[in-house]
Amino acid sequence: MLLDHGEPKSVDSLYNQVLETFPKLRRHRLLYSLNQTYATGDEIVCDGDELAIFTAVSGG
Amino acid sequence: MDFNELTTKPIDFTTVARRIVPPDCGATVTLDGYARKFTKDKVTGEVRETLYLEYEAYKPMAISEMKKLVEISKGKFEISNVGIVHRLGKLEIGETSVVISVAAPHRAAAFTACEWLIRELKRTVPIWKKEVYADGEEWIEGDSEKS
Repeated sequence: MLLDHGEPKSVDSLYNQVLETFPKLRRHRLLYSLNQTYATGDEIVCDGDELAIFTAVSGG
Repeated sequence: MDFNELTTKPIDFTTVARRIVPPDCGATVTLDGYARKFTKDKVTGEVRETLYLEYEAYKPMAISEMKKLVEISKGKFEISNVGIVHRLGKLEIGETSVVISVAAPHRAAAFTACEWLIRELKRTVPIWKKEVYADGEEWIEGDSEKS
C-alpha cells in the first residue's frame, strides 16, 4: 500500500499509523524492515522507500 | 563458493552438500530440516497431526538476510564455505524444507556453525510456515519480536 505522509516521518511513527489503521495487527508479534533491512525505528522514511511490517518469522 | 537459494522444487540435500567440497576442508556438516507430521504443543502438550506445510517468503530480504548470516558465521567460526537452500510453496510430510551445509577444515567448527546458522535463520530470515491440519490451518508466528 502507498502511505501518503506530509513531512518526513520515522519508521516508528509510520508503523504506529499502520497499527491505528489496522488495529487487529496488534494481536501479532511483529517485525519491521526498511528497504529489506531490519529497522531500528528511528530511520526517516523517504519517497519510494519500502517499509515492510510482518509477523515474527517461522522458516526453517 | 557460498550460496543462498529459495526454491519451489524438491531439494536433494545430498546434492547441496556436495556442492561445497573446498580443497582446504575435511568435513561438511549438513542439516536436513523436513516437514514434521506430529507436533507437540509446547504449552498444552497436545499432539497435533499436520497434513502438509506451506512456506512463503519476503524473497529479496530473505536472500539478503541469509547472505548476512553466512558472512557473520564465516567471521565467528573456523569454517570455509556455507550453502543454504530453503524450500517455498507446498511441502508434503517428510519433504526437505531447509538445507544448511557448512564446510570446514575440521568438523567441530562446522557442527557449531551449522547449529548457529539454523537458530539465526529461524529468528531473522523472513520466511513463514503454514501448518495445515485435518480440521484447520495456522500461519506459525516465531518468537522474535521488535523491541
